[in-house]
Amino acid sequence: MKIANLLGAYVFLMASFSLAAEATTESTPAYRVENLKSPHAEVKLVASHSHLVEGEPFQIGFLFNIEPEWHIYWRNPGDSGTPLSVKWSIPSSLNTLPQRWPLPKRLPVGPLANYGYEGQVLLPFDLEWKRASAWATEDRGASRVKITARADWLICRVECLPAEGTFEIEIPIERGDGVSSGELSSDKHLFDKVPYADKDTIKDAVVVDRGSEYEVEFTAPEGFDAPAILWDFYSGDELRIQHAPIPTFELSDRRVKLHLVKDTNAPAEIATLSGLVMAQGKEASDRVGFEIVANAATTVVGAPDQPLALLIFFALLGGILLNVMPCVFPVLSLKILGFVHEAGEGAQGRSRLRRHGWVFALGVLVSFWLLAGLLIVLRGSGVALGWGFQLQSPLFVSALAVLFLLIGLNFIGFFELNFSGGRLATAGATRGGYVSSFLSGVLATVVATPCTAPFMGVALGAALALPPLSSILIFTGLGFGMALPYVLLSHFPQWLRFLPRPGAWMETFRQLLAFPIFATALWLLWVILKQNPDLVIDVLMMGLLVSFVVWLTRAVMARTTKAILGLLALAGGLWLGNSMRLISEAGSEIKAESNSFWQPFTPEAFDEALATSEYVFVDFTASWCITCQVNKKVVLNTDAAKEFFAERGVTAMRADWTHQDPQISKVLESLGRSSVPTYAIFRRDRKTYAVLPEILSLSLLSDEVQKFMGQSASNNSEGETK
Amino acid sequence: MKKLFGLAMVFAAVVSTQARAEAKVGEAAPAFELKDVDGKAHSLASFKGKTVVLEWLNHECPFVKKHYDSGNMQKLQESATKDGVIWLSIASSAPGKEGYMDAVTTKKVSAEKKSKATAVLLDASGAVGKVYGAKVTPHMYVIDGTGKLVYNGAIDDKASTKVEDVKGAKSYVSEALASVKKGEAVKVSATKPYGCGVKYKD
Repeated sequence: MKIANLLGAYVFLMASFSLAAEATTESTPAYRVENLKSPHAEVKLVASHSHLVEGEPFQIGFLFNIEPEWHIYWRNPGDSGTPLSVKWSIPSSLNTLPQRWPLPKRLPVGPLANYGYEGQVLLPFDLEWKRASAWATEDRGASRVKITARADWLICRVECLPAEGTFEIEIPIERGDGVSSGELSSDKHLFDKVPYADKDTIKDAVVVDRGSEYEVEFTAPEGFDAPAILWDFYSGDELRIQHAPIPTFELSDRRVKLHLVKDTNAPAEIATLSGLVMAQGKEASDRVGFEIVANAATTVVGAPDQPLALLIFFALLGGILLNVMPCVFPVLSLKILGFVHEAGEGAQGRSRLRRHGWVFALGVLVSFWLLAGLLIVLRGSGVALGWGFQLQSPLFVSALAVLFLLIGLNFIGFFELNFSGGRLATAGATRGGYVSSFLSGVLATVVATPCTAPFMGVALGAALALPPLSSILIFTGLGFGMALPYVLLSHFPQWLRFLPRPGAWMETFRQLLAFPIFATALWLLWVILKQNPDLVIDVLMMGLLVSFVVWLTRAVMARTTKAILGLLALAGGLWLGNSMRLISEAGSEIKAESNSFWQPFTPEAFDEALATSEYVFVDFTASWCITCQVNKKVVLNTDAAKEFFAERGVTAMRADWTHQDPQISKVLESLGRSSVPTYAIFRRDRKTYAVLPEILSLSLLSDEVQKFMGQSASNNSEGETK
Repeated sequence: MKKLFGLAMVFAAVVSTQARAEAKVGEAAPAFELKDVDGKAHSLASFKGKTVVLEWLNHECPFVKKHYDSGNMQKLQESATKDGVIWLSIASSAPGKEGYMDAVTTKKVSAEKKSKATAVLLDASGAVGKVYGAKVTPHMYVIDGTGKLVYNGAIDDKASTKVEDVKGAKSYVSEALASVKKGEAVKVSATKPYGCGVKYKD
């Protein structure tokens, strides 16, 4: 039905209203329209369901049938025009969600361009229940609710006409006791057909200012695999780009480079550029789209792109330093002590020792490769993860805690085991103990995972941003670095000659080393406490059970007795765990660490901090990161650091990565990092920042921060951007 | 689309446009000369030393109607010209397009609307509109005494056709004029203009 003028539209709508009114009974929705002024289009309010059901989704929309040549506008109308605006009056049980606009069309008008809709279009609104399945008091007991929309919009051909109307719908309420629960309306199919953009926004796009144009780079989402004939971009911003020039797309696999002509009055510096990318197939109706938010390419003070060789070197250095980190040192030092036995043996013994050294290195390398592979695959599937991701899983940490308990028990002499036990110290001397050496390598890697050594941050950050092959090379460097001291000592056991002759002191030393191991286990328990307090008791029970079973294996008694005792212990453990969990659930909640000086980091809080202070320092940390905790204790949480920051007007923020947090991962990624600790200081423009070394001291902190303030100031005055 | 993505380099929709010499805030405003409704020529150069406001005009556009019917535009014109500001209303609608009027009609309508502009200029070829990058009616520009463009954008911050929105709107143009008068830098110097597209010749 086509209508030619305002009067026609009015008559038609009044007619449809009176028809609807006649058909209205208690169980069908009633529509009413008032003060309608709708030139060149029929407009009506439609609903997705004929009844409102508690807690069920509900959509309502404006269905436009627009005369040929005329159009209405998208959320950004382009060079001229204004979009539909609606003032809602809805039952207090419901909320309107942010409007999701259907994909628009480019509508060129002479030298200008608009984004909008022609022909038939439904502009839907999603209504949300404020509380699931709960009616606000005012709505309780009513059999129908009224939704009113005061809408105004602009309709244009070349010329434009304002339009408006007050639309009302009265919908019967279904409380689940009737026949027509959740019945769909005859207009439901219209809601199903709405061409929305992909629900995920591409947030890792980067925009570069090229003078007269903006160059935006991003990876198109998976599944954009219908042949595209036409690409287009609809700007989501004001005063960024000229709307009329058709954007140029360069495609390489799913990597897209988009060229946009800059608006003459675009700001000199932009932080973001956003909009909707549309790909159209052979049929005009075959359109898909996704939203992108591009961040301006950043200026890094004193950290240009590193060549791969340098990154591998850093990885190697980081790997070597891992050996002295508190989580690895006890395990490896004990292993190295094994060489003391070997130093005096013959040529045959020495060559076997060398082979053991290399098998150990292989164990380390294979573990690193597995970790790298897993990380690459997981990240490829879109999960925002970084180094230490394993420790974000409470189950992994629990297993690690029990493992450290076992290692500690072994060191103290509670039991002996082939690969992680007493022979750990004498692996080199054992004939055919290559499996043991390999497993020691694996173990060393596993215990190393909670640690980040200096130099590792740069290498790991780059590793994850690089293609898989380069990434594997960097992980290889890391693993090799970690195994290197061991391999070297296996070749030159005489370097250990300064150590006393093997003897009783070694047993004492081994027992001593059990304590840092127990401390590590305790620290892991603390990590679990932060992640999931309920798990702590399970882990303790598990530890008890495992210790008991270990004791059983070496206890002198009949095999059947052992089996019975084992089963009893298991049952007892389960029962105890369960009752203790009940107690802990009834207990108090564990409050998150609060510290008034260090503000918790969220993207919103970060924006706010940048708006109010010249510099913002962010401590990217996690409970499971021991290096972070040491830095916190020794440097960051001291009064001296606090004073230093306060004096220079630096806002201090703490980004807690103990749990998986994609928002923090994204920020880390933008800094070229994927691990904690990462310390970064940002200037107000947020594009200028510096990343500090992983291991801090007070003097280093103050030097680095002051250096940055000096550099960023001069960088700013030159107006230099990369 | 996988196949397509698989291609090493595919260029889609390659259309580049000529870079239009648009008026840029902070730079010299492009020179122009146009005739008014009486056939008298006005050039920007002749107003050197004075603050100049350019207002793109189309009396049939609902956004323009909002500002004339409410009296807002005339009030702005009056207070500006009283301060010695030159206010030029420019009509760039092409013949046959909405808003195009010949000199006689334009003069008559301007009188009916009680326009307080210094002059109403005719730009039926759209040349000046395009040089300035005028996108909509009303698109507003403020040029200071040195001939530098200091404001380019919307008349105010309420992009609607409703008369009731005039009240309470933040008028970018009067703020810019106030800053120029005080010899200060204009705080908000560029905004997205709103209105009907200028009806240029095809």
